[in-house]
Amino acid sequence: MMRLWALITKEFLVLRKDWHGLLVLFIMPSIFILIMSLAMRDTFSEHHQVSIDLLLHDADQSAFSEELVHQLQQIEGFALQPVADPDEAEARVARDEVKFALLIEKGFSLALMRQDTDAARLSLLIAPTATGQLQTLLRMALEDILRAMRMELALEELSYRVEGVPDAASLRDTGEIGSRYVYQGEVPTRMPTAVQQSVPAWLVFAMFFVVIPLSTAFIIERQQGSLLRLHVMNISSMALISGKIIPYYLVNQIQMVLMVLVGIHLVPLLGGDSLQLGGSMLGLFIISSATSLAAIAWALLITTVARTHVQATTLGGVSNIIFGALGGVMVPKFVMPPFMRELANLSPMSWGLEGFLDIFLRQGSWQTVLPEASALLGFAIICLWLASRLFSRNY
Amino acid sequence: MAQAAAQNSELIRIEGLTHYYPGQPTAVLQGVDLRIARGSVFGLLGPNGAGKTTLISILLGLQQGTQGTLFFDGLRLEENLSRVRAMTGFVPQDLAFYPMLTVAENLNFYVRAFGINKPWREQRIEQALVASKLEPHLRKPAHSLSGGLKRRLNLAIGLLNNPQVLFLDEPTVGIDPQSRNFILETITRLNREQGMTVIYTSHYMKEVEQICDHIAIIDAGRILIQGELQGLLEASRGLQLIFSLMDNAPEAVRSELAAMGIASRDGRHFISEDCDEVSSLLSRLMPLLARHGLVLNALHYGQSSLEALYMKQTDSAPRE
Repeated sequence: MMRLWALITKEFLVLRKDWHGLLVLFIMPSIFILIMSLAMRDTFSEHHQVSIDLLLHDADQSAFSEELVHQLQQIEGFALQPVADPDEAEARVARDEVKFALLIEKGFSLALMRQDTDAARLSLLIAPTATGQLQTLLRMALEDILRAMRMELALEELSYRVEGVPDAASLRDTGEIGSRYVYQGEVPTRMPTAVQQSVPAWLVFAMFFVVIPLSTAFIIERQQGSLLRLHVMNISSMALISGKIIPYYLVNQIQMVLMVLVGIHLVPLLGGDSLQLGGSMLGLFIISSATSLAAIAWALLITTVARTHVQATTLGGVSNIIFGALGGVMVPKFVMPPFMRELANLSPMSWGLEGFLDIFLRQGSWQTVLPEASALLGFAIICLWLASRLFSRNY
Repeated sequence: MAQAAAQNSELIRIEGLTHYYPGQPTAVLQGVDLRIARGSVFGLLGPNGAGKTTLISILLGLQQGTQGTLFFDGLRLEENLSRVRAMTGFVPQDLAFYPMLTVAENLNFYVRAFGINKPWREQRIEQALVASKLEPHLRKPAHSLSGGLKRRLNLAIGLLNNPQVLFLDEPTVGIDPQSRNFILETITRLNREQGMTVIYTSHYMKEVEQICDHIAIIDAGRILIQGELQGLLEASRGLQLIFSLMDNAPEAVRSELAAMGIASRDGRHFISEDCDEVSSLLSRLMPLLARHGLVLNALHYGQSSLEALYMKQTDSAPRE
């Protein structure tokens, strides 16, 4: 026990003096969380608000065109900017300053009153970079307003001839459609935000990056004969491996606490949302421990396969980036096409991330994370078994 | 008297040790028989690839020999590995410590890794520091030490468990003469004052002559010669002419040289033992070489030394 304690404290001493390792383990993921939480804020905030800049040139200047503009302004998410010159509107769209411009041509009101749908009196200018979803959204909004305006005109005309025709304004009311987010467990105030996604994603990524300091220290020990010396001192391979697992497990848990604190306190200071923890601390502990063991076992396997620390850091870094890209760290899984989502399940980072999301986002309990935790522990056992076989051959 | 008695008892006995590496058809050790006396300073000599490292690693229990038996203080090594290791110190050729840690941190770590209980730790560190004279450098990071001080730290760590037997693998590589002398004097003092048995490998023959009382020369996995150093040197005492050529001598020249009492192992390196009449020999040798267009690379004439004994015993050709 004294020997194991000596190995653990030595590891912390070495790590404390390894500024590059500390940078990779603590500073890099904190910066990633800050950047990604702020950069992705609008993408994730489509649950709350979408703001589409729309240039507007009204050549018709009629009561109907004003009504169209008024109705557009009523729809949440459109930021209308009037322009006097249609050429200017076209030029700004071409320069990609705005995604859309709406030109209301002369004769718009006349065509509307005549219920003439053949002659286009509205022109929508679209920047090539505008997404298909936004185009559809704007088109549907415009068509909806035009349809309602035609309906109002028709009803108004009908009301002169028939009694009991309903008020046209009541047809605009869509208040009967209610919506809410659905979670495992009932927490109706919880909203998925960028910080809820990026903290677990970059935390899992950072946990796997123990490969850099761990492999560097381990391979230097091997090359400089320290491992040989420790073997001759009656220290078993099991003790040597445990002397790596325990300190790096603690490092991973410190990472988790730090990243959660960044999400709760630092991101809101810079204008982002605050991270909200889930309800199951036990679940968080289970998934965090399982992810940590998988990350350390993977790092140990890389260390035993690589001959030099340059090989180890390259192999470890590249494999982590692939795991991260595949596993939904860099690109959230929900924006991936179905076959990529299937592929993502091959990455252990995906298992860890899904486990953390179960807690942070889906309000899961400790039982919810058991499948992911089991997969991670299985991965850890296989890696450790391979690493220990290779390790005893080439210390 | 006590030391002499101690020296007479056998600390290590190796019988018929043969070892193959997996997939290798040739044995790296072939039927090695070796005796190392308690309290001796034993030099294990041999060219690169001769089998020294394999022999040392088997003695340290880092690998098991394919055949043969090893006894350590009368105990079979395989069955008493932990006990044997507890009385063993090891100073590898590599600087086996943590460069980022200070001298004190390194010593503190290793003394605890040896499993030495708290009341003894400070005393052991103190003893190692006195032996290595590293006290003024305790707070310095190991990487900032000079080459000589690093070697001394490497030695100090090997002494922390107060070993009965100390394995030193080329402990003076790449350091200045002052540091080398310090390390050699330390080893001699430890042997003299504490009766510590030392097993020493080096390519510096002068060092081995300076500190070892027993040697063994190993080549191609076989022990070629072993015994008390002075006795071995006495047996081969005499004037020797040793020379080497730039190119291999043809068979005809080798035959003529053999007729002059000059032996060769490889056609390039030659030795003439008991060479009292060197002028006469050279007056016949030089014209012979000139006649065949052979150029001398090096020539040495003098009393037999360990180096001469070593060159005579081993194949003189450079090793891979």
